[in-house]
Amino acid sequence: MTPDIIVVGSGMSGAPAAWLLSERGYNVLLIESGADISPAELPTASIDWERKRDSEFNPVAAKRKNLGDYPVDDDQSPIAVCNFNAVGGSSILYSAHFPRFLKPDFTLKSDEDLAVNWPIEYDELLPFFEMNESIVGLAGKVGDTFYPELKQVFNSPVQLGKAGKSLAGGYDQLGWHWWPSYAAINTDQTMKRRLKCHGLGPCNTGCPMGAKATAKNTYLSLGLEKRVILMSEMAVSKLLINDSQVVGVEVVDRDKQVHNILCDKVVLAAGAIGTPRILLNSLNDDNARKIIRKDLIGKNLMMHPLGYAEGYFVDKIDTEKGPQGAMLYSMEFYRPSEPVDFKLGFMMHALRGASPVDTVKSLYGRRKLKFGADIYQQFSENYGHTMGIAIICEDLPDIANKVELDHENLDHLGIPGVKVTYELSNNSKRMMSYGLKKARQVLVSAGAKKTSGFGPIRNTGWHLFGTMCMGSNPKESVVDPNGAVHGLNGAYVFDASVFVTSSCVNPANTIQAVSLYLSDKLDEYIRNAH
Amino acid sequence: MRIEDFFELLFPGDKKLNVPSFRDCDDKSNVDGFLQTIPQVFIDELEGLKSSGYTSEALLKELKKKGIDLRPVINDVLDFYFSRSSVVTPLTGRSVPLTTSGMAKY
Repeated sequence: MTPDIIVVGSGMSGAPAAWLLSERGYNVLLIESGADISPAELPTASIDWERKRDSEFNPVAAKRKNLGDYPVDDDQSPIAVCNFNAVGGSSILYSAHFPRFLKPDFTLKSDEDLAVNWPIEYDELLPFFEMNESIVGLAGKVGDTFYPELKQVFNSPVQLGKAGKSLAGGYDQLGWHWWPSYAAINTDQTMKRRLKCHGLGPCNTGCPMGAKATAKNTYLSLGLEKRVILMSEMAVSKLLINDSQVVGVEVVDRDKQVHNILCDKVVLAAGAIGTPRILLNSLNDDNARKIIRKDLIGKNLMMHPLGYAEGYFVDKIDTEKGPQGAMLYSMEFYRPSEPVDFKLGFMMHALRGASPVDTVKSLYGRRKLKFGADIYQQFSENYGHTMGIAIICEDLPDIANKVELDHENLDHLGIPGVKVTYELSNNSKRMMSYGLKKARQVLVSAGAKKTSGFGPIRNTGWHLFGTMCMGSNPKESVVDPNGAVHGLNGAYVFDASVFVTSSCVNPANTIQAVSLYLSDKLDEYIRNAH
Repeated sequence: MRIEDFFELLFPGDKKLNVPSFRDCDDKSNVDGFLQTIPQVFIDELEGLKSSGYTSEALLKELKKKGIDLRPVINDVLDFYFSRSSVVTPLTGRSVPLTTSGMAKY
């Protein structure tokens, strides 16, 4: 098959793009650096699942050395880069909390004189949110006032359980907003190809039941039945460019053999760290210098700084069961109603409790663990007795926060790794401090006997955006509103690196909707060109 | 003191709860395999201590006094011991691997 389009990366953005373009009749070659992991290989299908989470399934990029990984030096960041390189990408390990970005997130400049407006309007994305939610089988409940445009769900909300009911009561007592989580989880088995959620708990170590929607068990599975060809364990090192036209990609296979694959349309969907890495590595080629704002590639990295408040409950609240990251959320402080010393706001994302190993390690880390005969009683008094609230802070773009190539650290194929520089803004620090106080307040209101709060939590840099900013003006952005790189024909970016603001909610739904929208635009462009 | 005696002191098991001690938490080959991952420098330090007569607390204090960083070894043994099905199942009522534990009620 000669590909009409190459898509690089099979995760949250690459798989939806490959599927939609194949639906429209294109032959799509989907290239993934990571391996294709079977459900039986996922951690919770084995005895040592918590140990696997710290090794080959560790979300912290710098600590993992799998075949598809590359060196990530994030020592110059208080937040570690988290991702996963495999077929399905980071969706293999995400929590499946699946809210949309909110309408005001797209117009920060005009509404609040902050950052820039998106060149895409929320209403343009709306059909693609709906398409995405129907394909993942969104679980949840219609009617949240923060999401008036959301009209349909496909599965019942994830059960609140004892913990969620207590916490909801805490919010009600304070008169604060809460809503059952929107989740990409097959709670009713509406999605017939996937099993029903068994409530095992640790969705973020992978879901062997397939109840959690991943890029692999939704879009890729559909795409492979159409015109998508998947090449895994092949790393794209750079774009091949002739004059100002992309003519293909250079790939390196697991035996370090270099291949050129020719194609005049390449969609980069390797995420906000991986995509600028490929493009920066392509800049060695003089032809790539025609990219108009090549100096902006890798700049304006945004993350969601995350604080964590934990409540301890005397009665067991069963937080060891049920999807760990999907219970309920609160947008009470999306834009705080009282005067505060920070701009924008945060989401409160309720999390269930710790696993067995995490329970004892958390006690040990706080110097509370009693070794010897008492350890068993202490375990029972803590396991299933705690729940958490993550404070997910909206970040703003800052040119000093960036991803660069690290020529000192090459991957096993000889391709440069990346160096990440990121500083937590004073706005984020103030927001987090305020948010942690509010989270502890609601935990007490829910009946917690003891609470604690800390942040930023280092190993939480899942939500990465902004390193290839999108805009209509070629002098101020790297890609145009259709995802096409300004000045380089045939190069497209469809992942979260094009985001110009970050919202304060989990981004998976929006990443997929944006990818579908941009894929639709590419189809339209090709059809009009012919 | 031998390394397995050190871990046995930390995790003596609980007969009432049917939780085994460190030594019996898994097949001998798996326990021995784990012990082989402990850095030799730590094993050497332990061998300098008397073989019995400590409480777990006193022993940990003694090691700290010697300036030994216990955290990596303790974190590793917590990982190992609290992921054994023989330990986790009686303590949590859930099977290991988790995928064999059926539909959770919560």
